[in-house]
Amino acid sequence: MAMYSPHVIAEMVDANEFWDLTRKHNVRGVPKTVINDGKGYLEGAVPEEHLVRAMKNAVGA
Amino acid sequence: MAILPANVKQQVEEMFSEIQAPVKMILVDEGGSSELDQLMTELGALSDKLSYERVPATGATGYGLAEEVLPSILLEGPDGISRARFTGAPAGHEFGVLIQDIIDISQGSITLSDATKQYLSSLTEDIHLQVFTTPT
Repeated sequence: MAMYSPHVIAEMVDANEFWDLTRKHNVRGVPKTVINDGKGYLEGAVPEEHLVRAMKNAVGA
Repeated sequence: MAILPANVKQQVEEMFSEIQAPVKMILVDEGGSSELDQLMTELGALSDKLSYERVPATGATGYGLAEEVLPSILLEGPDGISRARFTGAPAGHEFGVLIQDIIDISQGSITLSDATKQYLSSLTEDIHLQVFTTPT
């Protein structure tokens, strides 16, 4: 998605190394995807359309 | 001492033969000697089309990064837009993801559905996706 749109930043975060972030977003299992610093959350490796739905819920449109 | 074992190095070099357009790896960190810097230097040596630059932590905000998420690795495609970031060392499974992302960015290979592409094209604001993983 980040390759397709300049509006998207994809960041892989090492949950073990960044405890503050992990705690802030209440990460209890991985992978967990956080959208715009907590406007949306997704747990598990989900199909593409689930991620799109979560993105739409988080930012509107 | 090299960080990448000879067999891994050979394997990555073979994979990197698929790199098409140039890709730049940028490491933003506190500086000083680090294994991550050495790893990136070793990776950068495996393809002519892969370059590596190290940026001090003071330059983090220029890349939209907060100092609390350093070290961070950014991958920049030929258009100079940074596409993917790795916060923390890309160890374990993430190492494979890093290698594959470099190749995908260089090839511009997109496997998204038309519906997703349509949605992404309609975006007017930025979306930051942070995927939390563990190295194992």
